[in-house]
Amino acid sequence: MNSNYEGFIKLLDLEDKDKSVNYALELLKSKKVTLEELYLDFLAPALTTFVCQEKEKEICIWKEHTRTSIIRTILECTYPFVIERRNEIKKLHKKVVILTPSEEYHEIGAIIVNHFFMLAGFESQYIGANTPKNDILMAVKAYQPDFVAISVTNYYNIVITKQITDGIKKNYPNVKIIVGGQAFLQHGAIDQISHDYYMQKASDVFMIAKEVK
Amino acid sequence: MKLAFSIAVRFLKSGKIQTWFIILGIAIGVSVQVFIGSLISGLQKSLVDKTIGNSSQITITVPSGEYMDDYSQIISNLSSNVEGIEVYTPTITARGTLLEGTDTSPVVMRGFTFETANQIYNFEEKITEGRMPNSINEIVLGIGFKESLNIELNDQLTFDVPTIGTTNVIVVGFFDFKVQAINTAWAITTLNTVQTALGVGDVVDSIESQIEDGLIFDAVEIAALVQTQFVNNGEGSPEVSNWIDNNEELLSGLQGQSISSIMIQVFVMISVVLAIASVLAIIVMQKSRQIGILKAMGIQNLDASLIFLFEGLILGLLGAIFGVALGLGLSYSFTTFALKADGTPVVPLFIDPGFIALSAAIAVTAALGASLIPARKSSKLSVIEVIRNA
Amino acid sequence: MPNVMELKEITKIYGTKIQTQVLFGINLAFEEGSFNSIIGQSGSGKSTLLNILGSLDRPTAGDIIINGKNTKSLSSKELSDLRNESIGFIFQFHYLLPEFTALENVLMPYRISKKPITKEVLDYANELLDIVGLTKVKNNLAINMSGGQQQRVAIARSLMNNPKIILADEPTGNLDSDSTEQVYELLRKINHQFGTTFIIITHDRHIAEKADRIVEIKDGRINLDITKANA
Repeated sequence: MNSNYEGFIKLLDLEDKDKSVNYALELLKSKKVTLEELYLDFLAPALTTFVCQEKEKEICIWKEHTRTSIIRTILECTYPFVIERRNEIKKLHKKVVILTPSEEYHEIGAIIVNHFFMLAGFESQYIGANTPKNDILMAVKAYQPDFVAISVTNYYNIVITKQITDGIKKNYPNVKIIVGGQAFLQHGAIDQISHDYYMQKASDVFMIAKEVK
Repeated sequence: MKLAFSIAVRFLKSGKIQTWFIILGIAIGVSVQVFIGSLISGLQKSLVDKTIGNSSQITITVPSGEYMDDYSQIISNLSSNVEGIEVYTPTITARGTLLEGTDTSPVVMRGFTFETANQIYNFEEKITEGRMPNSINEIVLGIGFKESLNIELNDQLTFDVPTIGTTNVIVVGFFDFKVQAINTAWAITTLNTVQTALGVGDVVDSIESQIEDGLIFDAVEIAALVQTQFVNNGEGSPEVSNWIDNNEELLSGLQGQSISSIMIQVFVMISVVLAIASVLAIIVMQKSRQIGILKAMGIQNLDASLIFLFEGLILGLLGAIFGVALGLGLSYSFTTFALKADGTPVVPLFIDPGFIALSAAIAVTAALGASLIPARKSSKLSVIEVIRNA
Repeated sequence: MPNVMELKEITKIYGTKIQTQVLFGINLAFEEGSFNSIIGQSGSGKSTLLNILGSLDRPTAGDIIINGKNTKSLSSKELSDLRNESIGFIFQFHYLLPEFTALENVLMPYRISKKPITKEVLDYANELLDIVGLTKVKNNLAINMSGGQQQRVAIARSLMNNPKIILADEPTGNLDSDSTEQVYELLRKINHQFGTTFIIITHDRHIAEKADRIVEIKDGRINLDITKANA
């Protein structure tokens, strides 16, 4: 674990957005951490390991949302660093569309994965959270991507995800499907979804990149 | 059983207006039944009473000119061997002329034993003046004689029997049988007086009788039974006649009435049954949702159908009770308010508890029978259909 | 946990001349104490499936094992008894007996079992009405209660005979979102407290996403069957 993580978490616990954002960006600028490290070792664990000390459930949800909002801001602020890095690497000439299905509002994961695809040399397009099934099919038609990556957090959304993946496989059999997210930790979930790649962590992007080279 | 009953009661209570309408329907049917039945049997009874109530219903006679000397032996013999006859009375009749000064009038002088004869003829109620004869040569005359002979109470008259002779008699009373033919022809006296006038011993020429109540229409059979007694005893051959053979027209009239009464009752019952059956069928439709729920909860098909049998039973019982009350009330007001000038009812009703019980029982049975179809429907009702059609 | 209910190769065909096959060889098993949701579009066959699970309808082929008993060999009387003892139903349209009070409705499954109503039984019925929060209106006729109240009476009623399984068809189908939440909390509470198995058909994602298991029926077949990892 990076020694700066503790300092970062302390600022997050205080819910001090300005200092948290500056702290994270400073780490990048000073090259103390890489983009990948920031995403995987700072932002992701800050969300997934969040433990609420409050007794009341409502306050916990509110605190979680505040933290998510800070992390999201940091995430967006890292985009110039992504652009900078992308200019240095070799392009793969493969298109990826990234999305979350309808009613799925957890998008941090999807955004991180989007950045990872860019860093891996993909031509990556994040088309948003809560995307209706028909809009997804339209997007696939318009972009003609090589890959569609779907991020699912709530396990109920596996139901709609299955409809989406079945729809893509039926209409665009050549498009490869990548799925990932917390929802697939449920029993039997991944086996019942048509997919080509199952990403357990964002860095699995590089394995896919290796494969398509 | 208890469950089905309490559900039935609750179902009936929940649609109070509907329930009362059915009960009213049954009650009206039963009351019409009770009223018409009482009216018609009252009519028949009064007609029978008027015609044969005060006359002999089975009569044993010997040929003209012959007499029975062992009549008391015959009566005791018949009393012990023939059932269905309430009373026998021996009579002897002499035909002749009554003379009062220059006025004469033909007369049928009838001698009776009053102890028993009164049970048939009710003489004492028919006396309008004076008293009953109680010793020899005392007679009571029909009020018709009052004018034809211009006589009064305690007048002395001569009774002349052709070829036999004359007897002096005293008028101790007048009677009114409300039948012109009798009022102008009969004289009533003791056996003794007639026997003396005829110059015979203690003999009679006929035995009259009255049949027990309720067996009145069995007169032919009873008469036949009486006849057999004589053959067995090896007596001469007295003739046994009965009122039915003597009143064929009356009887066919009565039968016609009975049949039309039965027809009316049958149709009233059919309409009651149809009404109950259709209403119960509608109730099953209305309650099919509830039956479905109960079945989903595991009620047995038998209990599901019992609910409607109980509904039919309750409706039938309540309808019968109210119907009988209504019918009796109707009958009562009819006999109280529809009166003749003399204060007696236009039509005397005959209230027969047996008949009323039968009407009520038929109504209850009909209601039960009518509920069989809905009960069957309820038993066969499938939960799935109820849920699907929700 | 052992299975409390099991379907083996269930098919259902409606009609004789024009046959419509509604279910195609369904195999499903439900664990004791689990909280399951069945979802699917209208006409997918999910209601037919639930009715077959509840022995309200017979399958065209296949076996249903309820509480270890194969229902195929049971007479209609035995089936009625099995329903009465082992299964509680909650329907979308409440299905209370409007002629009876809330308390009487709750007692009805017990009365159908023809056992005498003792003080303990009465106390239990009152306790159930307590749990669903209807103590104050327990003597009101069902017809005079609000939709949410009626649904809670139906829930209390479904529990009266301590059934192992509760089958619910759109239990929150016509309730507003607050009542829906209340009803869900109640079902969960009962699930934890009594270890009752719940099988719930629902359109409501708020109910479905909270279930331990989601079974999606599509065109008479199981399209998806996922169980929460920590359930």
